[in-house]
Amino acid sequence: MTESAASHVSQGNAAGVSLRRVSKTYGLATVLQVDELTFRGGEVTGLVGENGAGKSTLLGILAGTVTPDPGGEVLINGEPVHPGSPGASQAAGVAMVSQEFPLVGQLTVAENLTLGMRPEGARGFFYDRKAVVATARGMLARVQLDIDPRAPVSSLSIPARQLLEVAKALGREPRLLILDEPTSALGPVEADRVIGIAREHAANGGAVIFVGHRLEEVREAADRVVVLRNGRLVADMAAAEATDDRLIREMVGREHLATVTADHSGLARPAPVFAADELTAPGLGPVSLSVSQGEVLGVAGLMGSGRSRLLHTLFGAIPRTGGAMTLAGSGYTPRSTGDAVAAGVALVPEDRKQQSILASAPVRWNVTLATLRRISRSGFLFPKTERQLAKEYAGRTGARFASIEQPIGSLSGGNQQRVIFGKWFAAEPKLLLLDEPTRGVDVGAKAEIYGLIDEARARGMAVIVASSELEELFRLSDQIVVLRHGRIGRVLTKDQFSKEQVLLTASGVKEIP
Amino acid sequence: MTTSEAGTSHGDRQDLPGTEERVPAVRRNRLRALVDIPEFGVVAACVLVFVIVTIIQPRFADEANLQVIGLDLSNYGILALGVGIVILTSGIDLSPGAIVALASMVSAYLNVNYNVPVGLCVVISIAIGIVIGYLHGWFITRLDVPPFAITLVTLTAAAGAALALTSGQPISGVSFFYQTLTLSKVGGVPLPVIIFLVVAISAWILLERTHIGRQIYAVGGNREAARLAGIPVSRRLMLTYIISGACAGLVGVLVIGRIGVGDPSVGSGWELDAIAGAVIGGVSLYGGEGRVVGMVAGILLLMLINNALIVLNVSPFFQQVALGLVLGVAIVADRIRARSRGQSRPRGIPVFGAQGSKPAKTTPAS
Repeated sequence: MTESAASHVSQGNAAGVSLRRVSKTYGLATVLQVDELTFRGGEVTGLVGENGAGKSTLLGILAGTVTPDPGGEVLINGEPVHPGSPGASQAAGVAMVSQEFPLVGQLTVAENLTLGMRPEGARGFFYDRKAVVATARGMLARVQLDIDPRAPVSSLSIPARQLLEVAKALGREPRLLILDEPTSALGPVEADRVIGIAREHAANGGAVIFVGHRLEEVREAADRVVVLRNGRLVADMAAAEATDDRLIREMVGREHLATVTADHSGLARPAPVFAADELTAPGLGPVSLSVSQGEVLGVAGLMGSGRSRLLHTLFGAIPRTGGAMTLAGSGYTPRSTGDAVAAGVALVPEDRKQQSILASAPVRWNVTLATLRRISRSGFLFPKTERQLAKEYAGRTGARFASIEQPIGSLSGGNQQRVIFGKWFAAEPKLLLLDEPTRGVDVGAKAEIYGLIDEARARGMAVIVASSELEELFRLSDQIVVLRHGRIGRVLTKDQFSKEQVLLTASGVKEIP
Repeated sequence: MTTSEAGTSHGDRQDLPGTEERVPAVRRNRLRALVDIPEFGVVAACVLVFVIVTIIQPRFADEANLQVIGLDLSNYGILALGVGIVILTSGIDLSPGAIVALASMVSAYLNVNYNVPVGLCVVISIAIGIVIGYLHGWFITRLDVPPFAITLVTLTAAAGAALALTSGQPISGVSFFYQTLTLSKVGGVPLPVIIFLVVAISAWILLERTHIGRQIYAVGGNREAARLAGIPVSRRLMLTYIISGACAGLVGVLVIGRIGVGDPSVGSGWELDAIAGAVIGGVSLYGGEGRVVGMVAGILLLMLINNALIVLNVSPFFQQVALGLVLGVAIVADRIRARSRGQSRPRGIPVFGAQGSKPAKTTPAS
């Protein structure tokens, strides 16, 4: 706290990338507001912050995929860059390795690496396969990735793809190399390699931004660490000073200090409605947990820790490889999502557009989708019955729409989510699984969705909610399990809820006694 | 009541236009509602084509010619309904034409050489379609073979098998009952047309009035959402290919009576007309959208135009061009209508092979 955003001295025209008075507003919400921030050449800058702190927005502005509010400037080596244009950013020397891998699966490694660039030594108009492969070999060597440049990308493992992305970015000889959680998909060896690459690029005079959740890695990679909280730059310190405690305190804000008290796990709880015992699935477990009627169990963890995976396994959408589950006193072994729904389990998935809604179909269809079999008589649907049920259940969630025949895609995100809740309330599940239930809905709708979850609890459903927003979990949960690498790192009871506790376990620092 | 009338109740009455001017406004709303029905365009086109061609060449509306149109409609229409249901799942079936050939050849072969009664031949013919459809579904759901590819295999192999059965020779001397099936009439309407209507009504009931039909739409509209709503996606996909195969098997029987022999080259290319008919009728190739009314109207329009070009003595070469243009107009019109309603179908063909890769969207912080 000795340094702050305001006191950070700008380097003016020096080599590097600077943001000046850059902000980004969506509607009424300002998600980013940075007066002055420079990423210097020859230096790795670590960037940390909670989910929603504005990291993605900041990186998006640098990469040109997000247009900042007018008035701000992005300067690369002192030259202003046209904002909001990915092409201009790339031309100015910004290369970003994102968490998604925008690779073309069917093309080979070499083709992906050289996509959109002209390989050295290529002659004439025609595609020069030899030159492409040779260039690709050189690029792969820089990340020490030992794969055949002629292999299709779809045959590669996730870590190899991640390294390939790094190689692709490096091959563009960027002035600013952005690594957005480059290690989340990697094992320790590859992670070290990426850190080495970042350091090397800086040693050659380039600027590097290293975004990470694992604080140790950030410290190891970076010369300097900046912290974002609620869209603002709250700390800027040398990596040597960036202890875990200090970083977490800055990320969370000073008001959330540790309040560890006695463990209450001995308190009597009602008998669980649902229990999983030593549950395993690819990338998950063994996990044991239980929820009682009317109880909400929160699932916390970093990206890639297996939150969604856990819920999908409980729902039968990912086949389980071992362990046992019981639901309402009897064995529960879902072999398909249909089994899960029939047994009384419901899942509100994370990505509404891809996984929940039939966008062009009417609200009515979306409400009755999971209960079609139940509301039909010997296979036949009766429009009147269906309309009644759709109206009743959509109405009960407070979803607002002109007519149940309106396409759900024309509703706001919050209203869509309410309709999806209505769909599952209609199924009257015993266990309700919620994956990021308030993602992409506005603040008002958020509160109403919390209301729906409280209602589900009041109706005696057992609820498991996974979220990357800790405030949300604290608001909703009776207990929280913290996942790390697919396992439960820790179980927190209500009086132990604090961001520090969760983050320390999730990022695998150490157990706090 | 209508919105325009609701607006008047608290409006300034003096400024209102007279009643005689308000009626057209209401009518315009009704017209708008009518135009908003996705199938309106194609139904209107059917009426328009029929009226215009009849004015130019009254022979078009003669009973004999209408019966020809009806027989064509029954063959292609049954195929279009089967294929249309497959397309609803964002799949495709290229095999119906070849199944028609194979089923009709096997049916005629058994009837002529082994005296298998026509009734049993009908069952066998449909069974051939069902088995092939089942195999399609199996490869598509279990081995993840693209529908286009596996049904292309059948298109080639089944058409070849039909030819191989008799080394390309037609089978003559089929039982008279085939003709009876195809050429008899009920109240002046050819029996195949009635069969077609029964198939169409069954398809309508399936799609609009059963939970299975709704699930088929869901599988086509958003497969992942359907799966996560507990819908047995593979079983539903399987069913659609079986239906399409069965429809083709049925048509295989009906064509024998029409041409009087088992012809191994019959049905060649029919699948394309069937697909075109469904698409003209508003069935989205992206899946999840389209109705039976549209499929029927779409294929009827194709048949009307086809027949009109013959009646009007247009060169057969231009007939192909004209049919292509109709398909083009229908597709473009559909896109324009979708766009004007503010809907787009951004869902392209999934390019990225990895199933585990979820599109992790970076939603702005809140």
